[in-house]
Amino acid sequence: MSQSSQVQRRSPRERRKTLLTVLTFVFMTLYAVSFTADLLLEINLFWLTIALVLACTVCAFGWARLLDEGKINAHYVAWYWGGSAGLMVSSLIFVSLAPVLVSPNGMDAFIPQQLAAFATNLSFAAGFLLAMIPAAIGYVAWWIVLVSRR
Amino acid sequence: MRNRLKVLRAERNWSQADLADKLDVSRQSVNAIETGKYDPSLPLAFKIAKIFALPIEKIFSDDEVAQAAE
Repeated sequence: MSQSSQVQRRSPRERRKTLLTVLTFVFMTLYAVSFTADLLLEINLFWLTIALVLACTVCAFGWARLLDEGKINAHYVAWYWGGSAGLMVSSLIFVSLAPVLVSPNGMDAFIPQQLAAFATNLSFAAGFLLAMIPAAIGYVAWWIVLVSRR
Repeated sequence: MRNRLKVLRAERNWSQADLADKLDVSRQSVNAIETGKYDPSLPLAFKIAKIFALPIEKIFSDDEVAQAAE
């Protein structure tokens, strides 16, 4: 019974889910590479970036549709608690850096001189990442706790 | 919400994976329901009732009602 269950578990549905997970990570990696190249090398990869983001979105939606309700619930919980806790950390960082960030050229202190030409882009990217990375870390940490408990 | 899933499963000698297969959900989801980490949706609860051939209220009960019964 268990063996047949295991075979069933790797059904076409499971294989599609795995494929979509892998593809999402591949597209995300390519997106990160193209974003970095765009940012640092000033290569205009606008349409490639848009295509990669769309591909990621399609794969992520496909993957989410294949989740069962228990896992969807676990993702909700992880995003709610972990993501919110991470965003609180982001908020604290933003508030503590506010005096520096609002001053003229305040970001210069954080950007190496060699990259000064890209200061605007880097400031934007830093702000975005500062908000998203703690939330993502919180989500992953909460997810690990949930998975280990189940 | 309380449930008798673990007991009913044990009576039939089914593993969590066996029940998960019958319900078309993951084993983790069965575990989460059994341990009360989350309450299943109505369609899933009905599916569970159908698999065990029992009325839904014989499997799931409200916390307060269960406490009062004890």
